[in-house]
Amino acid sequence: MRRCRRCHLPETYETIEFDEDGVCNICRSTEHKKVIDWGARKELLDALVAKYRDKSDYDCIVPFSGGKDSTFQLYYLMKEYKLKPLVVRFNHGFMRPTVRQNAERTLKALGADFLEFTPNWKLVKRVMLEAFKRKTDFCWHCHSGIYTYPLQVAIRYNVPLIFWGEPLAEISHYYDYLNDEIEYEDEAKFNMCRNLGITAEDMHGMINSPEDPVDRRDFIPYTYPALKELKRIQYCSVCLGSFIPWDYTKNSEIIKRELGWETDELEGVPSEINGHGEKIECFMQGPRDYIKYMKRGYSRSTQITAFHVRNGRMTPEQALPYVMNEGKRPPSLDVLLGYLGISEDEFNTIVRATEVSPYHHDYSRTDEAPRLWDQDLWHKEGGAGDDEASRPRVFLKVV
Amino acid sequence: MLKRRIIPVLLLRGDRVVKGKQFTDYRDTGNPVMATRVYNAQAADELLFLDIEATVTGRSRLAEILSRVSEEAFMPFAVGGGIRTKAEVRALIAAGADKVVITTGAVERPEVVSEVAETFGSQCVIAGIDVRREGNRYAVYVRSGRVRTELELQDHVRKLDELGAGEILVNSIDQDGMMGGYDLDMLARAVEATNKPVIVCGGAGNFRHLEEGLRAGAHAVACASLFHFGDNNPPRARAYLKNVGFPVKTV
Ligand SMILES: [Zn+2]
Ligand SMILES: [Zn+2]
Repeated sequence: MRRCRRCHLPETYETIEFDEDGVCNICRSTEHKKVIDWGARKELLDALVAKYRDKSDYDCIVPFSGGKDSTFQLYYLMKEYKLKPLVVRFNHGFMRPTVRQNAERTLKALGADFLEFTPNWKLVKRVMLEAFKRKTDFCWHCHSGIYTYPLQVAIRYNVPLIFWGEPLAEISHYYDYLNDEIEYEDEAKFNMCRNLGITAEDMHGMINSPEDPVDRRDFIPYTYPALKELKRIQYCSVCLGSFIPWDYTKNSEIIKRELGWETDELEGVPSEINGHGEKIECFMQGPRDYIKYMKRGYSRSTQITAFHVRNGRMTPEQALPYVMNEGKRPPSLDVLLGYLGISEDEFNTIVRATEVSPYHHDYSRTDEAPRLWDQDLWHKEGGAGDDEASRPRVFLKVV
Repeated sequence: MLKRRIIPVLLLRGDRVVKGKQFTDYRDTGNPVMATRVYNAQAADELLFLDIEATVTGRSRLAEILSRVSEEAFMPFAVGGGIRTKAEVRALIAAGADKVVITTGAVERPEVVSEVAETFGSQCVIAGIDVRREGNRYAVYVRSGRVRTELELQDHVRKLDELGAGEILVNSIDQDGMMGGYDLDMLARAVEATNKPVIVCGGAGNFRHLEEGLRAGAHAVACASLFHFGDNNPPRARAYLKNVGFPVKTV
């Protein structure tokens, strides 16, 4: 596979393009980050905060998982601006123990009101299977709910200002620091790169059947609010990372120091490259990254070392061994298969159909990543973790 | 070099968008208005709506769906399905369509192609051809692939060209929904028979298939399954095609 000469991201990475020097557009975009007038951006943020402060029961909504980005977001807004936020968490059902503790510690230390919403798990399992079969991404509920639910809360509480965290320009080329734009989290962005191209209305139509009907109302938490509702509260939904330079490593250091935020193991990733604690909030991250590897030939280690290289914390040579040594099967895959009610063969068949050229996955690989310390503590179904033979097998029609 | 286009195809059946295999076995893939909103956000070059059972949807219902679609669509969109008269085309254009696709009508009432081209301009007419491979020839089918005709692909392409079609959409029933790649032989024959832009359809399952279609002479690659199944979208497809050297729209 062709890879970026600098960060090693391969040609199968979404929206990647290479220039004459063999350097990718995401590397180039982060170069522009350095020449952005961050002082002017900060003034913009000051003005934005001034405009919305004290206008309703809360100054802003902060969507919050307890992971490094949202924790920094919350910390920054409360410390720098003394804002009174309503903290909102859409619980995707895969919260790891460390992140729960981090969240509790953070909320208590900062003193903020917190609202958590956990959607109907039976529906979650059905849409997981549907999204996996269609898009090989079982996280539709998570991608959608995380973005839609806080907006619904914003409407209910009449709080127009919503602060998201990291800018997408940092990780993909849907947005670019070059364009010098403020990233708004609006419906266009949601449809472009959040919801897998499947709206709540679509998903309802896909899984609803006379034999197994689904209550339309179960999809309300995943539905993007109507524009007129959002306009009524004069919503302003922005990424904090558009106003202040987003540096994962530095942000992590700050929340560790100030809030006692703790990192955790990330399945399949050597801990020495993930000191900043990326993606430690979801216990289904291992299977997500594994699927990506099976389809695209790169995984989380490559993404993490690419950040480090772009931010000058690693050389391309230092990153290379990590890039070359990933893609091991995560033991948590058994837990996922238990939720989906499918066998690993069926899982492989679905993933294989969506392999991204020119990568070809070697399905004879049997190396397994170390099991996470907390796997025994997670909710399990379908005999996951028992021996292979006792797992229920559900007939699955593969498209 | 002309910018190459990637055209998502949405098969309409009643109020919903469906996806089939070899023109049968349809599965729900969503709501046409919401799908348009999604493709808008992803800056698709063009959209193609094919009403596969015009009788199910009904003309007035189709016009209503289209007018809601056109409120959402920033990109040009074409619509096809059972079109036989200029009056029908007028109504579809009034509902917001930029182009029409005429397939069965172009066989059973060929003059509709020239009538529409004369009235609305040939850029407005995409002549559709559905074929099945038969040994070393391709037979043209009509009525959503249900009825075989005696026509052969290349003769039919030449005829539609002469009648004034602006573009030719050639679709393989064998490959439809199989995601195993376009029928490149079919495409090459169509390209050989005309100077008009050829849109290839039927079988794209990954980005390499799109590349193969463009290399084989297609001006545009149409695909349904690719975007409905698999984590693909137009921006990713454009990035891929750009990396292999094709000029595509930059957003
Ligand atoms: Zn790079
Ligand atoms: Zn998730």
